[in-house]
Amino acid sequence: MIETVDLTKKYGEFVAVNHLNLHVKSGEIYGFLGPNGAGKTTTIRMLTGLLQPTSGKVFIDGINMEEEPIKAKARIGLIPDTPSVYPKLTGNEFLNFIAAIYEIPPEESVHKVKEILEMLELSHKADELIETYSHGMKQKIVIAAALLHDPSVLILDEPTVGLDPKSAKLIKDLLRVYASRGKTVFMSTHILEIAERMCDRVGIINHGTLIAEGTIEELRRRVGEGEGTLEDLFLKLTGGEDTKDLLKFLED
Amino acid sequence: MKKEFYIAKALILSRLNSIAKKKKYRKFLIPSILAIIAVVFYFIQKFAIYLFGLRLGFLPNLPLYLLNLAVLAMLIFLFLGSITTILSVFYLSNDITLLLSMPVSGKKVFAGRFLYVIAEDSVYTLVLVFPFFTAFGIMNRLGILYFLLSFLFCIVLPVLPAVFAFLVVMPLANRVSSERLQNITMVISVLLGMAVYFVTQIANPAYGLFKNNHLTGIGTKLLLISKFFPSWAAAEFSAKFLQGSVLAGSGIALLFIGANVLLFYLAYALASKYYIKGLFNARRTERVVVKRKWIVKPGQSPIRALINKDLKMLMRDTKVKVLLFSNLAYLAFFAVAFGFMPSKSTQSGSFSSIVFLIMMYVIVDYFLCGQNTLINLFIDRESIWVILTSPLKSAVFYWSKFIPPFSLGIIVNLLLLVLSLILMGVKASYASIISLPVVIAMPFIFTVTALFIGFQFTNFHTPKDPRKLISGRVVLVLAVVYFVYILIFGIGIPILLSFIAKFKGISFTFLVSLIIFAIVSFGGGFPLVMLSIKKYEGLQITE
Ligand SMILES: Nc1ncnc2c1ncn2[C@@H]1O[C@H](COP(=O)(O)OP(=O)(O)O)[C@@H](O)[C@H]1O
Ligand SMILES: [Mg+2]
Repeated sequence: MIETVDLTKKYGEFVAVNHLNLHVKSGEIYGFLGPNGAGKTTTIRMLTGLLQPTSGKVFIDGINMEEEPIKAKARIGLIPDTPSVYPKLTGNEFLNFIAAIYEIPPEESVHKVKEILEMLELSHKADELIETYSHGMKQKIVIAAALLHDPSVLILDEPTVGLDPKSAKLIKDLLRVYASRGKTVFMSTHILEIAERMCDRVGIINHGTLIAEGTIEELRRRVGEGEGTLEDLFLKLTGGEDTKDLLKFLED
Repeated sequence: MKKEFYIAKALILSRLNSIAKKKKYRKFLIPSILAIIAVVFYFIQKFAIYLFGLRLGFLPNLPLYLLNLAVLAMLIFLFLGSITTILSVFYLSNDITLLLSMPVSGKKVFAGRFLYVIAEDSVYTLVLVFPFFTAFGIMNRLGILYFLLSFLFCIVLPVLPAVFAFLVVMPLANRVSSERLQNITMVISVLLGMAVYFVTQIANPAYGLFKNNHLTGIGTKLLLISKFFPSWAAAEFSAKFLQGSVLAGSGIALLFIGANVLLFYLAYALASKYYIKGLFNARRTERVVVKRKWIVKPGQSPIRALINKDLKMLMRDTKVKVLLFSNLAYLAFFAVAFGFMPSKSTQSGSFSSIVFLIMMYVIVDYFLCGQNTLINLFIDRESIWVILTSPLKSAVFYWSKFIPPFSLGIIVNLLLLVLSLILMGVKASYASIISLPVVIAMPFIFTVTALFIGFQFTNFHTPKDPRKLISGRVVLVLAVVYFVYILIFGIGIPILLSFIAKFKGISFTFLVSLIIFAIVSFGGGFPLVMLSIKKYEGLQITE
């Protein structure tokens, strides 16, 4: 469960995230949708304790991030937007390192690491340095690290960027299974199709403000009588109508 | 030569931009650099005039010796840095591939980059060495021609070290990959540093200044060799001007300048043939084979896992290996060259031994616990999110960064202690007792200071230039702090202690030394630890 109360982040005068009130239930896949620069990454950094909010609160499974950061962080698995991980460790070493700092018991961690590497099809690369991995493989090793300690809240920042279709499908299935086990999945994306296909509920953020929230069906209804697509709604809400002019210009 | 200049210009501009990162500071950059240069130049010239004016009975032409020495010191400095500079500018720089995909020939890339190296090094020569020439010229009222020729002399001075380094690196680059190339050049440059230092120490005219009577047959011969050093040309052409033979003086200066220009063309000719070939070869990456035995054992405590990870990353990082290896090699070398060799001639009594021993610990710990701590800290910078989102206690992270450099410092200090007892005998035993608190306190103080300063700059995002491990600001602040530390702990306190030892005896001095270092460690060190841990708790990722 993720809850935010009037979460706000200002960079000087600029308000990157504005009085955000989120409520993500357990067992739910929540899509955090917004154009580039909307404030998605900033929000995720505040949720995971990487950035201190200017004001407002974050609760992870009811634990206040500000007051008990260690307890809260133990429940989170993060997959950040850029998979920068220790280049001079091997995949295997990196996962064992994660197991140690999350204090996973050794008898558990041994087969878990093996299992996860196999599931993500990284076993053949496990003993090679991460710097030799491709972008997609780096992303997979980060996913493996996030899943290793079986967090109750999984937070992903634009997870499918850079993954091949097969891996993307794997991630989708994985998230489904994860949510069905009663865990919380929070995923930011600017790709509508992903939100539409995977998420139980969607929040749309623009200029740091949450401008619409609900299930896909609810949002559809708001567009009116089913004629428009989610894309039309998204563009309308986020002021992306201008792109239509651009398309027109290109076509002419 | 048009494209060459464009390449050099682009490099110089990007260099300037990297100094002033914010756009609004850029317009002040060149004026302020010029102002700093002018001030430094003025003071060095003043200093040189003062030195030249000294009357030393046993050395009639002191100015010429000093001029020679200034040029020689600069050459050592240039030689020491030359191989790494050439390697990074010519072979490992990121934009090389881009340049090669453009319609520019390889030798033009070479020439552009070479001009850039010379331009940058010439700035140093003009600031640090040229004032000695101007001082000489002003004092002896030499004509404008002298100033002009010595100006050109300073500009071409970096050519020899650069060409030399290029001629060393280029054949290597044609054979081995970049990873190995870095390892080999690192060894070469350290050996070269030692060799250059050694030869110059023997052939250094300054040596003759004090120990002329000590020179053996070999020494005299080596002194003759010093005439072949470029620094000799400086003294020689200045001497000719002084004697009034302008023609001979100009001849020597022009010969020197011409020889350097020729040297450049030699490198240019070779580059057009071999540079590009080696470039492609050196940029091919080599697969690192990971040995099985390095794999972490599951079930480690977080702090052990952290230390384990750091050590592994350090061991596998060529850049770090370069730094560590050269640190250690220089350390060993200087310990012998400066320390134990002259210590034979130090007079009896504990006075000089105390100063010498404590200073040695301070300098050694500066390398081991000051510099290495930061390298070890910033090895996490790209992946700091892993640590910051994990349920690690800040103190655990802190101590994991503290333990390795601190232990290394203690171990090396203890080894040095034993070594100094063996080499210096009884003379050192009193000094050793008195410096015992330093053996433990100094690694502690250097390590916590480095960590404190490192934590103040939460500059943990990915560095733009992969070769830069530590951000420039941190290095700058640390340089100032460490300079003060060396003054206080390496010079001030040891001199104080040796005075006390002279009048009050060993046990009292030991007590004083213990109290001083206990106060510094507990009063200064522990607050820094607390502040650093606090700072870590508030660490954020902002970029
Ligand atoms: N450190 C920072 N300083 C100033 N502005 C920032 C900083 N980080 C992000 N921003 C601004 O905040 C806004 C939101 O950024 P971000 O959360 O990264 O967007 P996205 O939704 O694409 O992930 C952007 O306009 C960005 O320019
Ligand atoms: Mg983002």
